[in-house]
Amino acid sequence: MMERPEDRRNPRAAPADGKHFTVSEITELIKATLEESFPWITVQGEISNFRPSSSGHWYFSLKDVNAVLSAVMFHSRLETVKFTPGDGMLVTASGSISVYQRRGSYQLICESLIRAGQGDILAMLEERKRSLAAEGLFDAARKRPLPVFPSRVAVVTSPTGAAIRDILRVLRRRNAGIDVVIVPTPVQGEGADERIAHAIETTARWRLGEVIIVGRGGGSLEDLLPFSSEAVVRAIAASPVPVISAVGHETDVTLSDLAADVRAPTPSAAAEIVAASRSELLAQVAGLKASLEGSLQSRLDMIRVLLGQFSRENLERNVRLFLQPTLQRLDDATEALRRGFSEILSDARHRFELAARELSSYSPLAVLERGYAVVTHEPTRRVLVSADGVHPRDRLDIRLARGGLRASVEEMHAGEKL
Amino acid sequence: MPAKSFEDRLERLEKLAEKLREGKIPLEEAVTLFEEGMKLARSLEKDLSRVERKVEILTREPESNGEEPGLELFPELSEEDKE
Repeated sequence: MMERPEDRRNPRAAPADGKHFTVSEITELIKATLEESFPWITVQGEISNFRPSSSGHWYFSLKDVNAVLSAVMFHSRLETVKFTPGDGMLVTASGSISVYQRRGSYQLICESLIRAGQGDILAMLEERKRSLAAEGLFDAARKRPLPVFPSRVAVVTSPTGAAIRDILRVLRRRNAGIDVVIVPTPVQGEGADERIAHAIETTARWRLGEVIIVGRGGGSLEDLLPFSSEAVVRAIAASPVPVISAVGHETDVTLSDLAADVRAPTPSAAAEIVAASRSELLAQVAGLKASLEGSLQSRLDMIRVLLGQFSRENLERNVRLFLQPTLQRLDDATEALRRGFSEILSDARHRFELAARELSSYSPLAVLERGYAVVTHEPTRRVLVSADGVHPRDRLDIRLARGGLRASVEEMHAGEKL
Repeated sequence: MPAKSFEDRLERLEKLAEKLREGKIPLEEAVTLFEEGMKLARSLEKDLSRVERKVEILTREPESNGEEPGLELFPELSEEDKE
């Protein structure tokens, strides 16, 4: 006997024509019912039939002993997944149920995917982060600057891991000329946390590098756990040498990242940071060198200008400038002297001529020219100006302008002056 | 290893350049500082253009403070690792 479950019928589930549904109609109803009922669910199960598609989406199934649930995780959500899923892995997936009408199938659209038990780990990490942060171990003020150009870098990591390979490759490509000291330590598994912490302490104590890179390549959340351990966090915080934390991939964040002075997204990036500034520094040094040369050059130029005042040419010119007035004066004086002398001469000549002329006008001979005569009384050799004392027959010498006469006195007249 | 770190030398060079730029010091001292600066610049450039490097691995931890850490050359990467 078949029961007709009309009483329990979904009130919406009535065929449009009252007799039957089309396939589309019923599928549409199922879709609406399912999707509205399960907008957000979290399911735990084992991954099976994991198949990443060429478009980048992941298709897989979640199963347990009795059932299978199709699932898809779209490319845009993959970066939130901290592990590489594989068949048989127990995971917890969250998302919504969606019906694909064309296939008549339903699947879980995963928004997040974590390994089972990881939720507990994440909560534990969150709690540890809170308590260590409360101690101030992650404070920004604690961060020290990295050395500008380290000559030696210590790498605390596994000597056989991907991290050291990547770091050495970057440093070689960069031709950075930086010495590397590898401080080997296991990076995962039992006791790895203590070993990593010890390696950091050893590196710092013996100054095996001017900067320490602590890291490893990518791995599962559990694999990276030692780098979030309290021991490692404390060792990094206590290190007197600056530390770069370089754990896993870009999206992996460990507590070592928070405690380190610098967080590098990957080991390669850490090597880039260490080697990065070389070309900038070369330019800086070249600039400083040019500045030194320029300063000294301009200094010397200035001195040269100052010294130029004392060059031979300048000295000669200066002496000439200095002597010029004196020489001029000498010249002037000489000239004046010569001129003065000739003036004196001509003056003297002039005066002499005047005197001579005057003299000649007083000459008795000139009087004679006018008809006068000089009469000398021979007996007394006196020039006569008076008849007194002259006797008749005395001889007289008469001097004329031209020639002379000898005469004797016939008579004399006493008389008055004319 | 040079006695002074790269940063110390770079800092000193910067200071020298500034002193010389100010031009207040006597010439003789300026020439001395200039020579020191050029020597620093050359050593910095040498460090910056260094291409050889040594890759070592710690093989033995010192047990006492007087002891040196034991370092051995780390075998360079095999060919397939090179780009």
